[in-house]
Amino acid sequence: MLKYQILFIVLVSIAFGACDGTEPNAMFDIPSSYSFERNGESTVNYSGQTDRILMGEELIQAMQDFSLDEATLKEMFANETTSGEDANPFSNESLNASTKSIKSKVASSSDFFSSNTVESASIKDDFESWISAHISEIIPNQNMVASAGQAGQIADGSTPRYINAKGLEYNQAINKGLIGALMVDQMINNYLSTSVLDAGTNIEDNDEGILATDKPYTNMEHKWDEAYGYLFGASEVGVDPMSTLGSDDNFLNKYLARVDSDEDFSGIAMDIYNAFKHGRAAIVARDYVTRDEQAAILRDRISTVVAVRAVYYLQQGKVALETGDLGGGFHDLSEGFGFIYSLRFLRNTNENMALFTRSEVDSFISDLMAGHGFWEVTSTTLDSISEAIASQFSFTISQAAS
Amino acid sequence: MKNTVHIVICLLVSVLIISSCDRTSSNDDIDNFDRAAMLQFWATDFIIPAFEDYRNKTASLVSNYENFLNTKDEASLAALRKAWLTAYKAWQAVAFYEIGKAEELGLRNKTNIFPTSVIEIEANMNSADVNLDLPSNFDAQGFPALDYLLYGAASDDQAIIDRFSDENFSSYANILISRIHQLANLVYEDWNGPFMSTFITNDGSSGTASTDKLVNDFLFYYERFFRAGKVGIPAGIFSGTSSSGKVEAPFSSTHTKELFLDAFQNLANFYAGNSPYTNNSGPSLKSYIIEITSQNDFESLDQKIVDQWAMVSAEVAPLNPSFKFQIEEDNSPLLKAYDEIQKGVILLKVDMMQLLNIRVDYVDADGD
Repeated sequence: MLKYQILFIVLVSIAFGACDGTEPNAMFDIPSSYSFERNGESTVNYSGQTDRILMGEELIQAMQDFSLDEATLKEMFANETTSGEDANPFSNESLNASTKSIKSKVASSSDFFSSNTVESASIKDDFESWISAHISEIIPNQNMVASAGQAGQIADGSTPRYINAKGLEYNQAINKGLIGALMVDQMINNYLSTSVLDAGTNIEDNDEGILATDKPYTNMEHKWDEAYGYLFGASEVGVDPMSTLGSDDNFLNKYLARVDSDEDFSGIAMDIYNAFKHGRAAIVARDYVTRDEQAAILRDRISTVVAVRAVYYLQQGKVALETGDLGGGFHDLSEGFGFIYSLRFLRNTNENMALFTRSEVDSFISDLMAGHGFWEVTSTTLDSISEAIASQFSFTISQAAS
Repeated sequence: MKNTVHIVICLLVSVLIISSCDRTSSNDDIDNFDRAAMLQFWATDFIIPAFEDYRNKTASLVSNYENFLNTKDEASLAALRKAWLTAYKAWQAVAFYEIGKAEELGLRNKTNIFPTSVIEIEANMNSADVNLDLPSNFDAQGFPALDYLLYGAASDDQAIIDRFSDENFSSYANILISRIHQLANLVYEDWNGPFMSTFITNDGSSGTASTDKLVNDFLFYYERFFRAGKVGIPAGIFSGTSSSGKVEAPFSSTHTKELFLDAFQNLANFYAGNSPYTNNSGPSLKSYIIEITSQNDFESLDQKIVDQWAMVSAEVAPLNPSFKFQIEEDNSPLLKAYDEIQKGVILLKVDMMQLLNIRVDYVDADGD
């Protein structure tokens, strides 16, 4: 009912010609690129996010190399040994030297997990258990032909895919799961939140231009940039990332481009880029109302991207399975599995609440993986999960499906 | 966002309601074309004789290999290579009938996946237990692997012959050659037995009907194997970098164009309903299209397809017999050929499928 009241109000506003809510605040300029300077020096820095994206890239690449052992993969996830000592698992030396890690930021946002450490720990455990299962189920069966209940290879076209006994590729679960558990959670539930942006004396410092120790930026500026870094941190030209969107990483950047290329969602990438610039300019202008409006736009659009992709893969998988293309279908559903896992980190902008509870996400996954998993999942099940996801948004299944 | 989209949807719905849908609805009607007669003709005048020919030529490959092993001289190697090429050419005529037993076996994956993996072939021949049904071994078997064994496994012909003295090498070749023939035989026997009537009687127009499935097979093959596999991938269309080693049969090299033209001729024959085996003409995609377009007074799609394929022929005619050399010398003529083939994809995949009211049953992989 509330929905229709809002709809009515918006309709009335449009009727009165007031649909220009995105008009920039005339009080300050929004730069054409993500470029912010103080005294001639850039104030933008997100190297920690770049590091974590690159660590993720090495981890998912390493899962295709069956000569690597469990300890090495887990060291890539944690950037330390299982006993907590320094590890050097990466081929990129600067990542080995980095104090950052993927694991420490998985399911670690201020808003969702600071007082929910039990769930945070269980999500971190999920990723480590997928690494372990990859080693214990996929690698020993790498030269088996997969069947229901038997891990091994299945042909996706002429490409071999390596699946567990239920049809799941663990590397896909990790790759697409990290999009939610690392990138999206850190971005929309942490760095774009008032709990982080306004922490400590951030507002007074930003108002008075007091910089972080030995840094060219205020703390608040930096927090916003760190959110930006989880999307654009691997871009070749970070100040102007749209020209290479989609080819800069295998995580959120890539899938934002995929969703944007669907005509039902075209423009969403530019909306996001503009909101990042607008919000950052608002921080410089000390306009925190505008900043939070832009954060709300980012939450909405980023959540939409993940949800669209979850439905997309469920529907692509359904079509493939219906035509007997098991290998192709299982690959789609493996990607879908990771995006469904990522739903947990999405956020309802209006109510500032999670869009999907733990138990809702768990129930999607248990429906998907019941019995022999992908070998016997029905179109009805895939449609009902798709519907449950899409119903939280304003897109339809068919808009997301292609 | 939600509300905005709601409004957009409301507006769209209104627009749809107001402007009544006035598209010609011919595609939704059941046309009068006799699909059963077309399926009958396809089975008896194309598919079965093509598989019979392919089976016979793979049998000849087997016997030529036995003969070669007995003599191991240049003459018998030449005969073996000729038998390989003859069978490979016959393959081009059955490659798109991935239906029934061929679909069940994954015939194309086990017969002609290239580029072949020299590393896997060399590892497999020295391994006691090789499972060629594994997807990871698709690129270590079939005609492309034999191209390596017969032409690329050593620096000259005598050195190649010498390699066959190695038991591991000769027995791997034997496994590959026997397997090609056995798979061919299984598919032929199935067509010659129960599958033919199953195929012909499934003459409806659903996604699982024979016409819908085989036309999809034809289209899928045209797009993925004829267009991308034989031309697009080696010419670097998708990666941006040409790669002459990715052509079909790069080790013998000089047969690439011939294999391409065979595949092209087979596609055109099938489309037009002119059987090279029985010399009969019969109901076909061409006559189907002409019948529907004449009923609806559309511009002839058939003429567009025929004209487009003439453009393909014109671009391919001057190419070097070895696409490998052609790419290394000047890749651009191959890019031009690709563009003309690609225009054919649009005519077939969009216009033809819509006209015949057949749904495309495969999705474009998103590449990850």
